[in-house]
Amino acid sequence: MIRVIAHGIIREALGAKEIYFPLPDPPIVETLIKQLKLTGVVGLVIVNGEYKHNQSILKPNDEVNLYPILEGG
Amino acid sequence: MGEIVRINLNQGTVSKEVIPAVWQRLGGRGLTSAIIAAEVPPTADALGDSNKLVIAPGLLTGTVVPCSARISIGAKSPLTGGIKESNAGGTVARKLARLGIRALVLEGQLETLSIIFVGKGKVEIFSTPELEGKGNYATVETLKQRFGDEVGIISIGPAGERLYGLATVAITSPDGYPSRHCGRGGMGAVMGSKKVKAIVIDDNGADDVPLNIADKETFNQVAREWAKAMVESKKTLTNLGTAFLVNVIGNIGALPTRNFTRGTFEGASKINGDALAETIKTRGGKTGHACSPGCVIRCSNVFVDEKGDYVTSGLEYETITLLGANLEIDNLDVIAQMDRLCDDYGMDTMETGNALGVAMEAGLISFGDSEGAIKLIHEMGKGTILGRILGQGATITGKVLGIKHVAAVKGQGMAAYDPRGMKGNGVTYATSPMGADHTAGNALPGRLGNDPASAANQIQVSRDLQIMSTVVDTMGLCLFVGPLPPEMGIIAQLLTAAEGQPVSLDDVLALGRQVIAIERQFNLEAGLGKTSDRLPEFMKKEALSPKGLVFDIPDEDLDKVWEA
Repeated sequence: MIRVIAHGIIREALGAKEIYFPLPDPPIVETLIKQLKLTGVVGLVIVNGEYKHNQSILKPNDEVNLYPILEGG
Repeated sequence: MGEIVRINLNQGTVSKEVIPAVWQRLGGRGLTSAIIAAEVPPTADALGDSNKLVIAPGLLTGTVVPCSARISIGAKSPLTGGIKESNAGGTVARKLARLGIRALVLEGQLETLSIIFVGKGKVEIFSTPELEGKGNYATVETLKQRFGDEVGIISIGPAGERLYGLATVAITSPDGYPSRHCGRGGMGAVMGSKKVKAIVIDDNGADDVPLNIADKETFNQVAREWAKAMVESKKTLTNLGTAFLVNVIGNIGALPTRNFTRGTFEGASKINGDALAETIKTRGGKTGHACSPGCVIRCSNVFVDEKGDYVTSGLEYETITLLGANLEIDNLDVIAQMDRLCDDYGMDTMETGNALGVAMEAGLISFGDSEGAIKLIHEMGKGTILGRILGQGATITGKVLGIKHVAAVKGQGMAAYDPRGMKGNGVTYATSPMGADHTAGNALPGRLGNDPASAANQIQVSRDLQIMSTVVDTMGLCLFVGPLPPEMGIIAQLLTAAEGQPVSLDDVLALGRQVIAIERQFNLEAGLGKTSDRLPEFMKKEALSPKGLVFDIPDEDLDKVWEA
């Protein structure tokens, strides 16, 4: 399992602030986002405090933070 | 269309001129920088007679384009010693545009503290010694009583009168509060040096459109579609404001904490976007608040106290982080109070947060000491000797107190992103003509595929963002529309419709490059060469806790940013 934490409008799209989700197959960010039906909504993925791109590999017990496209400052 | 209105303060004269053809595509930052570069000697005393204060709405301000009501204020900066532009929302830009004014240029200096009234076909100067020492809130209230509630007001507080390096220029919001600030680079000190306490803008009877639009139907259609898309895509900003970034930047370990010694803050959950939105909602304040007419993103807010009374508006990420995490203060009420005080005294919350962080490191007060921090802000506002030192910003404060750990570039304190954890922003801080200013090119995680902790590709990411951000600033657009290729494409479509001939994406990007080139040349002649394009030494050596990151982009790579 992995822990998925949603931020901003991703919470509305996911319907929860936080969920535990099976490791996707193949275990990469892109698959996770597809399986969560969040394609086009997620702008930034931070796993265990590190930036990840679509092809980054996920491992069991990862903490995956999903953010919308960032603006502001 | 549109005029440059010059007010010669030495002679008390006003002149108007049609904007030269070479500047026709410039507004906002592009126009302030072009005028400063053309007319102010780079070696001029920033607080002297020969510096000029240029106030310019953006090229698209006054049109139907959403989020296009930014006002740019430019001058040679007393803080950086280089050219400077700082912009804000509020009501003033649109009023100037409706008056057909593309730029208001203040030249020379008055002898007594005065206000300037700008209305349809009228500019008048009134001596107002009674406003001396008044805060922005009292000043605006006094001027609204005199000129009516509908005017827009540009004003300075005591910090500007005392020529502080961190003095801001306040702009009234649609609610009539002086809560929007051209905060960075000491523009308030330049206005104070000219003894101009306020400028009242009255657009009553004016209905000018400063930009010629050849194909209005297409122009309006592009603007409408853009507005609709932004309403959908920027909902997080609308709901949580920029404070949303507290979690993001903390998560990647780049949240300035304890005077830029840590990248995460234990009290972050008490000051993040969720906490702010919840506090405001519970108390009957307002989120989803527009800081300027025509804003569809509405990232601003109105923060109220426990009784529901107004405290401040536009409590946002930079302020929350630099007056909060950077000082280890985790109380939103305290941060909101500090924000209000800074707005009233006319002080940049970001530079103040940097200066107080240095003061805390020097042991003047302890980190986390809320009462002590508020007391120091009052000292700045009231002009005690210590307050005047802090009012010159973090760099001067560090020199006076013997602290080398100062997060600044070109004398300007950094924004709320530690460049060791967000290396693209480090490149921007170092190489922007504006000093350590995130709005010059904010390399947020994920932007242009940016991995913030990696040194790879940051030169190009920063360069591209700096160019596109300059375009946004020149158009008078809010940066939150996105300084990215899709938005540059929309701007090209708008300019094509306006000019009636093709304006390409390359043309738009060339505009950004052109403005930066003008600014860099001014800085070079002012003495700010490559050696100024550097981050503080400690950021290359001291690892940022907890991730152990250093800024590891070599100086010679920084020198390549503008060589390409």
